[in-house]
Amino acid sequence: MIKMLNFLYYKNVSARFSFALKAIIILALAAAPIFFLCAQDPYAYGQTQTAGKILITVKSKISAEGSMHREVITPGDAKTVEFAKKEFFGENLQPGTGENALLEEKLDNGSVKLSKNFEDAEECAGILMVEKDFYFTARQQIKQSIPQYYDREVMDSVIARFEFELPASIIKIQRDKKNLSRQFGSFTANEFVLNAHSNMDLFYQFNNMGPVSVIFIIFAAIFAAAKFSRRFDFVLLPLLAIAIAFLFAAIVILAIGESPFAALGAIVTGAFGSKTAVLNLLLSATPLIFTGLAVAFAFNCGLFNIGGESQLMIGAFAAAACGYYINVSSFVHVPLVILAAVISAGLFAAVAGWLKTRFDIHEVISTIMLNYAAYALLGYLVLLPCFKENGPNPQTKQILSSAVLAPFFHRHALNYGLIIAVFAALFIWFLLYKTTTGFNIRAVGLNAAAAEYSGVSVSKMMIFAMFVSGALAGLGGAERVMGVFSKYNSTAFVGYGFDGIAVALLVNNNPIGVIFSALLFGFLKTGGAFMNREIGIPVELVIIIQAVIIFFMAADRIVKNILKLKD
Amino acid sequence: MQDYALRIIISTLSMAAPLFITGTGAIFSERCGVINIALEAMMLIGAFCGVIGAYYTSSPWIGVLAAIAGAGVFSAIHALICIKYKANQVVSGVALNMLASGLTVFLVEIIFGMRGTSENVATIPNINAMIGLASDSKNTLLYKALDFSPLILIGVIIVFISNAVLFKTVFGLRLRAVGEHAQAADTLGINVSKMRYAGVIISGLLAGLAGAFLSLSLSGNFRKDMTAGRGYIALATMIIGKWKPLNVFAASLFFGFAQAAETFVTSLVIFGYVVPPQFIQMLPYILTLVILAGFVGKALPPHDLGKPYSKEEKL
Repeated sequence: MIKMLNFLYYKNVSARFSFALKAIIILALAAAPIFFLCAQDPYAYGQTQTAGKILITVKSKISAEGSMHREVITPGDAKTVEFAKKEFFGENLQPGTGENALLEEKLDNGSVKLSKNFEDAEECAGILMVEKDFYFTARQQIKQSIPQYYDREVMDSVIARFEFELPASIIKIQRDKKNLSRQFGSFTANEFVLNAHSNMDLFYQFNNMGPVSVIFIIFAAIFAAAKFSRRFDFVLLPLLAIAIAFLFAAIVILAIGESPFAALGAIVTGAFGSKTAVLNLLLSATPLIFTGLAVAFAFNCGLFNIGGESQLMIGAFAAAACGYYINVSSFVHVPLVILAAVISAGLFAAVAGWLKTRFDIHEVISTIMLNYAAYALLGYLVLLPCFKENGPNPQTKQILSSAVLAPFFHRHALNYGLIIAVFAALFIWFLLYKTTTGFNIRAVGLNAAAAEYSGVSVSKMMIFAMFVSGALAGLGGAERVMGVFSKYNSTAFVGYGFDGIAVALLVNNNPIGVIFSALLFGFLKTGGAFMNREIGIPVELVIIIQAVIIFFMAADRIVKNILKLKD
Repeated sequence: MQDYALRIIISTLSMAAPLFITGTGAIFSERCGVINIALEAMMLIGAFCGVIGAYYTSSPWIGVLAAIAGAGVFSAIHALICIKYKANQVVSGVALNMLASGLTVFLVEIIFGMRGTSENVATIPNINAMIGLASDSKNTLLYKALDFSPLILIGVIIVFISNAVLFKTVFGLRLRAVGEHAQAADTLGINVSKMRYAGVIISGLLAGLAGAFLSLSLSGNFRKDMTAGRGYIALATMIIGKWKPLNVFAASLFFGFAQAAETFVTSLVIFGYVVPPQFIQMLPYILTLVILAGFVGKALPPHDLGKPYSKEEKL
């Protein structure tokens, strides 16, 4: 089949056009089995679910002291009552006594009313936290607690309405903490249920055209990136790597008995289904632009910086410390905090460059070692009394409001860090391709010995490249602290650095390409989390997709072999 | 005091075992010229396959075999794309590390229905239980001295066998020749690809054994990212050990001791100043850099390390 297409390559048609055409045909061939297999699954086409909805209403009244009275009205059949008891009154519930007993009462219309008082403030808080998540994890919880309910139709039809009466003081606490409100875009559970409803509806709408949109979006992103490259590898290879990765994911999903159609639909809905979803996509892409640039820049100098993870954390910690301890007006404070993050992370990364040039220690080894050293160092610093704030994980005090990067929209954390990221990418592109320093850096990357003989100071260039690389990662950490978390936390900054490696490799370390590649990974992350909540497929599927993409980017000869291309 | 010393020794060996088993394997890979940064992934796959094998057969020993086989297959992927398809070996390793960390957690959730942790499976009994020392002899020195996993013993034996294989056999000589100068070895009629496949797959088998040690001896279940960077540390021990099994063994004992010391030395006081435990954690990594910086002499990797070999092309 592919061989037959080769006539395009040898005839008058331009090589570029034939490449693109081949890519499209191969992608179509790859996608065909998915479409075929999906056609077997009636749910894949998003047919309307006709089963009646089971409506469970949960009313909770919470007093300012933290005690809670809860009423649940559910349909009267035994299964549903059992479900409601488990879900809304806790699985390991001790049957309370007296005032705190669980009361069950049959209503006239056949439904059952359950009610109970909760006295323990901690227990209440736990229950509320769980229920914020309930809507999204309902499927998985049903799957585990009452397996006989794990039937697609029933699952899709269970709806719980939450009504909360919260005293003003509790709402205020949540607003200060920011995390819940930001995540759900609302302060009270009522609004949250409304959001969830609209998401569900959209999900079924998108279900139909999910894979089509996925493929379309990927095409658009890659072709946009391709405009900035002069190399064919840049167009064809990522495209095919992504197609193969999605095909692989589809096979994995089929193997576990789910519909790949629905899964891809959920990924697209999760990333594009609503305004919040798109904002979430941009929000999760922002740090990846920084860490991707960090890896890409070092790579252009022939250095593989695996230390982005710790460099980002060092930057984040420096930002958190300066954000709390320096008290000046916002115009001075924001640049100052960014500068602190950039310099600390840059200097930390430059150590690896110095070790490379002075002692000839391979940067892969030194950055790995420095990673672990930095984790331990940060674990020590974050527990120092001058930084420490009480919480479930070790964390620092919250930064002052003057150090906060302004968000674009009310109630969403997406902030001007995104603009900074795009400008950083443009700046790095300019630095690499339009300045003498950039030329020298690339010369060192291509052939260090030749660069040395032509008068470039290789060691200077390497240390400088590592400094800039670390600075970019640190900038990413600063953005997370100043725009999203407001503090350094020992668990919140994990993974960005390593994702950056994937982001950079996908686009052959092209700084402009990094933006698009980061968007693709942000899309996978945001959509993957939604897919996990909606269909219950583990979110690690996204990591598998990312890994397969990189794998085929590295093994470009496999792809070239398929295409019968010469190197 | 004797008890205390014994506990430290056994604990050091337990911490060091995954490092020297994997590190020895890595020597085979790197001596034949293929960078293996995917050790972490191979250990993780080994740990996972071990648990799966033990879960379905309720025999930890079949689990060990499954671990070795699983990691062997996984390393064959690395071998295939590095040797046949001449991919960038570091990038391939990074991708495999990512794949393993995603795939194992994904499959654990599918198979066990739990987030990030598998069910507990039968573990490998310690040597004292295996040779049938009665538990009423619990306080005897022999019982305490043999209170460690047989896999550690197997690991130590493997180190010495590997040393002999690498430096005293024809196979070892050819393996090293391929890593030092592939073209010269090829000219002498050594099959470069075959030797490289062998080297990478041996490293995968051993990393799988180390993974089985983690999941079937130390913990009894699989946990998300349970290798916790041991693959990278094993890589470091290999470099500190200058690509020689016995040196790697010594370097691993050093790292193992540092990790064991963390649990035994809760507070270290130097000149009246209390050293925070995090600084003790940091020490092995800093020391590695210091050692690499030239205090033990120059560490020279095999000459053709990381260079794919092709008969047709001049590389």
